[in-house]
Amino acid sequence: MAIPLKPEKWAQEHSDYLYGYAITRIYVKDDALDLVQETFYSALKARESFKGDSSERTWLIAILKRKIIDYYRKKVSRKESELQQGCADENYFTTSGFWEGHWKEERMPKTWAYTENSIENEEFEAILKKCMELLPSKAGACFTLKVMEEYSSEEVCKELGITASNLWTMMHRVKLQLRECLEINWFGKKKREH
Amino acid sequence: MNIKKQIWKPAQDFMMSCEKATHLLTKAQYQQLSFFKRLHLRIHLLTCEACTQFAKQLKYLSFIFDKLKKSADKVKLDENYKADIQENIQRIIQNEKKD
Repeated sequence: MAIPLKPEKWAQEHSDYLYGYAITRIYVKDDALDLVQETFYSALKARESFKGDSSERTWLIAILKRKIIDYYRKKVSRKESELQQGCADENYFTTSGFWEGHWKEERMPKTWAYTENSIENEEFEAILKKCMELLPSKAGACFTLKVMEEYSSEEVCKELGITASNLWTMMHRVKLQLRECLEINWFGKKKREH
Repeated sequence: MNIKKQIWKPAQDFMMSCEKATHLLTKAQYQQLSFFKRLHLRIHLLTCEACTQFAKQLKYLSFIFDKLKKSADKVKLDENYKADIQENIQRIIQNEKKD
């Protein structure tokens, strides 16, 4: 073995990073912590297979990435009723008349008060994570794997067992809901305050 | 009645709905749309302020998520929790040695 693993230093050297990686993809604190623990367990069990051709951290992240996919696969395969949980009213557009398919007056995107440093703001980050948590699980899974984990559309479809058109419907839903959630809780509010 | 059929329907077809436009805008973030679709979308955006805002917000959302991705290495875990994790790891290693 070229580079020996040092499990006795794992928590000190890698747990911050692994947790940071997990929480920006899982959004739920307890679940992210569990995944970090599980990553270390699996890594210990698979120690023999570490060839030393990547760094210890890269190797651990690869294990965590697989856990993230499994986390979402499990979530998506749960019962329909649970999929509905946290699902916002999806009628963003009018459903009849000449203007069918156009924005409902009250749900139209408004001009946002963009703030330079909102991302560094803790309050904003908390709202963002809350909005992500509120996404229906299938839609959230698609978004995270596609955008945060940067898998190709084909890979996401394969892992979650969905069709390509289904993926785009989910992505569309995520953007509509996320946009509205942030507008109501942050970008719209800030404007009124100033 | 006939007017409805002759004017309303083609007009509706030509006018892209906001639902369709936002769907295409979402897709366009990840893959190239056909020339015709891009043109059709452009025309819709010229006349629709809400979808124009939506397009802007999509761009901003990507920016936010890029930042979020990069923030992973700034996160700090509670020291007590870290100690717990290390303890668990040590225990597993110890048990292995016994076996």
